[in-house]
Amino acid sequence: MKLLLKEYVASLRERDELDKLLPDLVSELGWHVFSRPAVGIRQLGVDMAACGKDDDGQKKVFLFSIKPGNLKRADWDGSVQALRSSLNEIVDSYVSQRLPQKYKDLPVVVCICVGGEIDQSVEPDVRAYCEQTTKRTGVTFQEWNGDTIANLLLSGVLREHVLPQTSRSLFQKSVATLDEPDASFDYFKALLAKLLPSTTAAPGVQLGALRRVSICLWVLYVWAREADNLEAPFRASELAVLRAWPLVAPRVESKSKTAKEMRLAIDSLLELHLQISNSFLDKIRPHARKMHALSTGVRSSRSVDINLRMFEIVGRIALFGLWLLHMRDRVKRSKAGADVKFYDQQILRGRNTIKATIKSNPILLSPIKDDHAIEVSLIGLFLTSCGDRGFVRAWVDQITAASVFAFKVDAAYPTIYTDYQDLAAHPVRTDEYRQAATAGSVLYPTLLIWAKFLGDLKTVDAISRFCAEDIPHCAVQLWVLGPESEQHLYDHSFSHGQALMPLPITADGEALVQLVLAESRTNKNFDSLSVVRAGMWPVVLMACRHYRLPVPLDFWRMAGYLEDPDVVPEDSTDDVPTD
Amino acid sequence: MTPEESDNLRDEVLSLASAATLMERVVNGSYANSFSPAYDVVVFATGQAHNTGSIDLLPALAAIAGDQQASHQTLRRAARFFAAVMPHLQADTQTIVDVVVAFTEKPGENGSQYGLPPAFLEWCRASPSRPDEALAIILSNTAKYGGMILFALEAGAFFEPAKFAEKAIELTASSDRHTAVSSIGALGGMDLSSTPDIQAAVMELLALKVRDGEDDGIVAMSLSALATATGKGADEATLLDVLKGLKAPLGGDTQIALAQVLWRTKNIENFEFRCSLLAAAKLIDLSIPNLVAQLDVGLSEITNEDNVLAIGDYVAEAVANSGKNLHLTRFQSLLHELQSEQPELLGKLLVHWMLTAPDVVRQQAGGMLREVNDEAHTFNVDFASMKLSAGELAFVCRKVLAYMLMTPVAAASIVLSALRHATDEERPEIAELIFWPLMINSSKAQAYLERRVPSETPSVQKALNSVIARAGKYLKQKRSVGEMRELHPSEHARAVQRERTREQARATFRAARERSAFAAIVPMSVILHGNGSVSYSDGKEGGMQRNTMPLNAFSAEIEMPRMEVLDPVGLQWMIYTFRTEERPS
Repeated sequence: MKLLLKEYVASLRERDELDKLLPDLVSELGWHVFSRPAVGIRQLGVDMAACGKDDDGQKKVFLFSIKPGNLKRADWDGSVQALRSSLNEIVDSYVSQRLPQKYKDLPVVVCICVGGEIDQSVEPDVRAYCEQTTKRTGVTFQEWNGDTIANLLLSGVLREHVLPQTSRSLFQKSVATLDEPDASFDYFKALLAKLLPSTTAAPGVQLGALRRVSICLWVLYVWAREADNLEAPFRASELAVLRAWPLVAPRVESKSKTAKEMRLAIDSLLELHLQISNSFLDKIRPHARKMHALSTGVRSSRSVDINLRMFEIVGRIALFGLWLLHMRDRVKRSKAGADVKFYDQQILRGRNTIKATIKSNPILLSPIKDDHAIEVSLIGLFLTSCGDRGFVRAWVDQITAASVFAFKVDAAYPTIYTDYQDLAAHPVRTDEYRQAATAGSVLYPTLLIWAKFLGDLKTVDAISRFCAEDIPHCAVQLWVLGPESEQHLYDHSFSHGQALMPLPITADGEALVQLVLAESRTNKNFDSLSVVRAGMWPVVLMACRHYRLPVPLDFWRMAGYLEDPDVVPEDSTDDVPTD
Repeated sequence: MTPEESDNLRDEVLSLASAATLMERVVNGSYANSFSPAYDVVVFATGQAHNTGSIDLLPALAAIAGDQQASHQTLRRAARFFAAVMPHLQADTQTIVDVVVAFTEKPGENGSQYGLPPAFLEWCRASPSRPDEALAIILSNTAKYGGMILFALEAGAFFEPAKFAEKAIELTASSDRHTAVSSIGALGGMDLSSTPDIQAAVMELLALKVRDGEDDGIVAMSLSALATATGKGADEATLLDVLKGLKAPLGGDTQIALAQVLWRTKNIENFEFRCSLLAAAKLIDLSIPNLVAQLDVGLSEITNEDNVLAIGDYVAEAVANSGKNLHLTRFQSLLHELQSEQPELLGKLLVHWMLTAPDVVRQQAGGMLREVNDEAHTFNVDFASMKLSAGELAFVCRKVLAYMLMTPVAAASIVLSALRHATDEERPEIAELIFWPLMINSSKAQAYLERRVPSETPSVQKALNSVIARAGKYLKQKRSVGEMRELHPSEHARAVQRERTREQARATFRAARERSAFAAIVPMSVILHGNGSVSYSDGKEGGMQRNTMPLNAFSAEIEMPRMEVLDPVGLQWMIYTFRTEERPS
């Protein structure tokens, strides 16, 4: 276990990765973190500051200067960014100028925190520097290397009585099976079930659990990154956010210290998920424009595999894009101009990747599952929000044409079946099967509504004719949240929500839009969801994607499309812009 | 029997016949089960094996004839088999004579009644040396043991044409129907070229019998005789006149006779005559399987550069009008002849069908080529002779691609032919079709076209090199993702697909066993290890004889279009669009 953790710590590549681990770690040791790491902001050499009891039992102030990986000569001295400069700043400026008043009388320990080791060639210099400075100022130094941090993880966050043997075993299995993502995810899912307490547990217990989940997820992610397979941590992080939310939900409107800490904890999980999503996007993006490259990358001779994986990919990126939009809005409200630009760039990367992926992987025009309506909505919401109206319009038109054609020629038309075995055998060429495989549909009304919003009345008409003439047996429907959805949305513990049906599918689509509008105005279950009240609406989409639930029609209302389709933003460009 | 089944049977028979000791099994088993005069695959296979030296057929047949224990049934089948295979054999006349005599010397229910003497008579006619003495012996034997009038008259006419022709004419009026019919048949078989007056009289008589024959049998026999006589050099005008006068509905036997007219007159290479034959052949009801076989043989015999498109039109019309009852592959002799002997005509015919035929014919034409190796079927189509109007060249290419994408090398060869013929304006469009959908879908087509580049003209080379470079870039990019494990299907999905593949393989194997003609007549043993078997049997001189049987592996591969996996609905959409495209007006 220690080796696993030591390797993990050493593999933390980015400076902010180690930054993110440490606050949770020292918090679990019972220390109070009074200065947290923030991107681009260093307070006179200090990356993180905490107050707590040292091994000698004395209460001290710990000031951290964090360096990922090994400390080499070039990292030690010779530049403004070098560690020696930071330590000088801490000792000479921070201790005297920035240390909060209440900690002024406590002994100060400067922690040289490295993910790996201090290189032997530079170790004498570091030691000499520390001895001289201690003599000069009284400030003492501690070296926190990978081994130290691994020990702290074992004795702190993951200590035996907190992370019992069964959970350790699940955690280790999850890491060990990263190359079989299904198995790894299943172990992590079981681990989550063991780690996360009920909503009635004491706040401290809940908080500790969230931190442990975060640490475990970090370890899983870092190992997955080393193994070059992010599949399991992607799914695990999505699930972790969803499963953790009910612990935060009762405190969304509270301003208590516990509530704040809980929100910080879920933010930490969410940030990790977004970081994993970003890493995932980084892998996909270079190949998005290459014709059939990603489809070929699926490495299967069965089109069903390619179909499922490609829709999965674009769905993930679209959801990531929606998260980025959400984050950008949050930042905009906080008026941090520089970060808005950062998010704008990230959003542009996401939308370009989706558009290029769809263009170069034409299997994305022919969904095999009716529940690919989820991806249609996620992509529709994301891209139209970014001004890619024309692209979405063309895509919806092509999906409609391909789906109708596939049904007519008995090719791989969208089916209600979701089990892989059924999909592998799809389609069976009998009338009975065709009827059963298209017994219901969320996809067609979803496509119709998108086409209607985007002013493509030809496609609206095509869908209405198809529904009337070719699949009259099909129960076209949409999905709305129910009163019990708040309870079950995040853990999918029970079937919830309701089907909105029958739907009036007319040649101009107007009746359906009016019905959807009426329902979204009447049904208040969406607005009363804790995530929506907390302004974290992408969590709903995350749950829909993860548990394969249709995207609630309220998102159309939220985007303003229902009242006035003209608000769907106009195209910013006809082609894929360069990011 | 489908071409595939024919090939399987052929291979099985070759394998059986290679031991020669199993000839009786061939005769009693495969041959008896699948008898189809003159064009049976067993006949071809064994004849081929004999001519290539794999087996010595004649001693094997002589052994059956001389076997005192052989049953009448075996003798009958062996004689019939010998008669069928004889025209295909390369052997000296005396050896043939010996075996024929051996069969006809058998008393009782002997071989003479099963076509052996007439077959020998044909052999004699084709032979540079006239084995008159042998023929006389055989004739004598035939007569001694109750031979046939038809054969007697024909054989007699071989020696004294005028005398026997007059006798036959007289017998056509016999009140005994058998005698009358046989005499009509004999008249057709006689070589009366040395007696033009008698020949003219015979032709007139036969024509009259066709027009006014009392019954279907008489009409049919008269038509056959008329065709045979015409095929042997008599004036074709009489037959043409008779054919033009035929009206539906025809009797069953007459339809068979009409179908046979094609091959009976195969020596007449007159375009208009053949067109008239094809027009008359439209009276044949092709829902009757045997009639298709007869007609198919005839078509395969008469096809040449001049009439191949006319024959193609006839076949296309027949297939299109049959509902789903008649498949193009039923014309297996015609297609086999074209595939093996006249591939350039098959290419031309395919293009013609793609240009003009109904969808059902195009579909069947596209599916009939089996590409078991790289260049099994490539065509150099002479587009210049087809006089296509503007836009039709690219139109034909799209049709070829829509219907022949499963045989990409064949399709590539036709599109390449089009590229050779294309003008500067047409070339980019054709080249684009070579890139997409051809090269995008098929590595075999790409490899074929790459091999072709050096032997093409500069303009074609330039166009080909350009699309080959694009295809290379496409493939390089396509494979550039490498191992991105996040994209891979789950282990569960792979396990499900493995099981499905296994199940499909089991089902295919079951179906192959069920449809194997050979499996029905031989016991099956499973060899667990090794690539052959060794067995011991009682030797001729009381000792043990060691027999070894090596096994060969058979395999076939087919390249599926890449888009079948990467974009199956898109591929179908492309095919649908190309298939439904209307011919440019």
